[in-house]
Amino acid sequence: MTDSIAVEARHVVKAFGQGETAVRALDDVSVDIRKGEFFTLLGPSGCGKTTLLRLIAGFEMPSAGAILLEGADITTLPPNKRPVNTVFQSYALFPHLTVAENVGFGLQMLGRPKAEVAATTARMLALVKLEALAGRKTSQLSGGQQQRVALARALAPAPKVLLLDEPLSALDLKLRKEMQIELKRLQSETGITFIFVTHDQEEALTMSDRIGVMSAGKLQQVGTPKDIYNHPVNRFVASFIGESNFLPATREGNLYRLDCGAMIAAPAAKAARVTLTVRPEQVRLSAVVEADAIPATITNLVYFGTDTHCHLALSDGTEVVARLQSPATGDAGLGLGQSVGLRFVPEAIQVLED
Amino acid sequence: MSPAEQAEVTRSARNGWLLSTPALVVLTLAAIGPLAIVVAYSFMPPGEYGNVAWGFSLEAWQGILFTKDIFDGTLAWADANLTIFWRSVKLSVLTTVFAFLVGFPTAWFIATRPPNARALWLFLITIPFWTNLLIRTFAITEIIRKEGLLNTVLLKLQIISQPFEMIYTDTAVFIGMTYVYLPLMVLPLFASLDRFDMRLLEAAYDLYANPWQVLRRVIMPIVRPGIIAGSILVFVPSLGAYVTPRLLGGGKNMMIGNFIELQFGQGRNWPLGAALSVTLLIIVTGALLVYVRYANRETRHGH
Repeated sequence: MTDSIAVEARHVVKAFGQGETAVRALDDVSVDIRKGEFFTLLGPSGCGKTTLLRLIAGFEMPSAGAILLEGADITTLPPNKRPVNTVFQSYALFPHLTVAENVGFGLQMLGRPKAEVAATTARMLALVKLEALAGRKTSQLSGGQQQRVALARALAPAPKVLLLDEPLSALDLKLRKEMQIELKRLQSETGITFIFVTHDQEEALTMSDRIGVMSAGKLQQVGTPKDIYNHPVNRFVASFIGESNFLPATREGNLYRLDCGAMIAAPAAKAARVTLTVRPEQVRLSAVVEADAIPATITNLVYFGTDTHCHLALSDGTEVVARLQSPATGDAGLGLGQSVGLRFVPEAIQVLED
Repeated sequence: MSPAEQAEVTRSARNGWLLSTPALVVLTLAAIGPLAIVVAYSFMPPGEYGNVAWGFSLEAWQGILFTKDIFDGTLAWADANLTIFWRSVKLSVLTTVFAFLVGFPTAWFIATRPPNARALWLFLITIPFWTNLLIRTFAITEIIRKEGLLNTVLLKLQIISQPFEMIYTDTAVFIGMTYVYLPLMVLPLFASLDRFDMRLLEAAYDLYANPWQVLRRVIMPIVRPGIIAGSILVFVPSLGAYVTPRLLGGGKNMMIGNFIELQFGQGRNWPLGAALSVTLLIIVTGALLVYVRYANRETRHGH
């Protein structure tokens, strides 16, 4: 089993500052990242995701805990002794070197023969489709091109793990979408383990094999995009990944009583007081309030093109958002202030005990 | 183009020249004029009482490299002059190299401080400029002379048994010039290092460069303009230095500056002094051309 682990973090703690004022950027983080997978560290800024990446790269030393690369302890190795390369958020291309010299830099530092450096550089430039710009200075490139050079430079020495620190954040939306596909292609072509840091949940969901959601220096949940989206373990994950409705409820036997009085069936929980969470697209509305539906009033309608967000208030004031597919013609027959009946898709209800 | 437009262009061109007149006048009076006079003097025979006599003579230019025997008029290499040239160039190169070796870590240190601390360190670097060069040089004399501070302390600490004689040697001149010109190396180096993107260091380490390779292959090529500027600012005044070699080198370890002064003063040979001045100018220009061309070639090839 350990053969398939590329990077392992064991109880890693990273504190900045001393004594009372010390800030724990990472607080006892343990995670296994498998060989050849596209692993994403996702979280808001300041959650410690970049710090974890920098620890794996070797730019920082952990205050406690260990980092293992394919089973070997690399906790105290300097960056130039680790077979791990980074694509920096700022790209950090060498301005005094040409594109080709940038890409060949790592291999040159490793003391590889000139012919090998030239051959690998050419192969990498072909991989990122920049053969034509080999002789250019990096300052003459566009943002997207610089991004590709940074990728080729980090891939050229064939690292065991490629670290990507929010590499797409400086690109505009269209280019970002292209690069997302490009990155996935590069990862499957090279077979290298990618560890990708982002605060963009959509980016994480579309690209990753597995996601590690981080908040306040702790790893909140690790799982496949589907796992994380459909079965968030806590309120933070549920609200950070996609949108969610949160409904306070009290357990009564096998059912839960919402604060508005309605009874709902959901998976069992230990605590008496829980929060039920449902994605907006799993809320169903009907103009006729049937007996088994929860009565609600429409407070707002927001048109998004492909769908319409319908904001509702339950009888106790709890707000619920329903995402409805926009009909092809006309409107859905809903109006502000209208009373409707709402239902939740039963298997889509999650119980949060925090 | 219509006649009106043409007139407009002519007028704006004329106005351009008019506006730059003050600068041109100052340049002519302060730089080109005196230089022309010096060049003219170097081609004249010396006058009776210093000064120059009207006429044309190549004697001064001959006198730079050769001495004429008083009795039979044969020419021989002017060894004393050549020694002075050699000493000037040698000490200036040494000063430049040493100022770089000390100045680079200093500039690096300042550039890596937090922004508000940087201002303080830069301020400290400029403090020596507040005092007259003469006084600072006398202070060095006080430290390194035979009965001076350095010898006294070393003797008291019993590190040495005999006071060493450093003052009035080339070493003393070298130390003095390094001290005097060091800030001129630190400031342009700092300006370059301050703009240096420190994230490139991480990129280089990440790509398997060891600290020495990071310095040689990333930092030095990128801050090269600062190194060139600093070297020029130290080398040029070193070559023409006057006060430092005069005080720390005593009378005998002259540099070109002192030699020129000698011709205009006691030597009463203005044409030779003028020819020497022009020679100094030629050496400086030549050295700079070679240096800048070499430095640029390094940049182009990158390694």
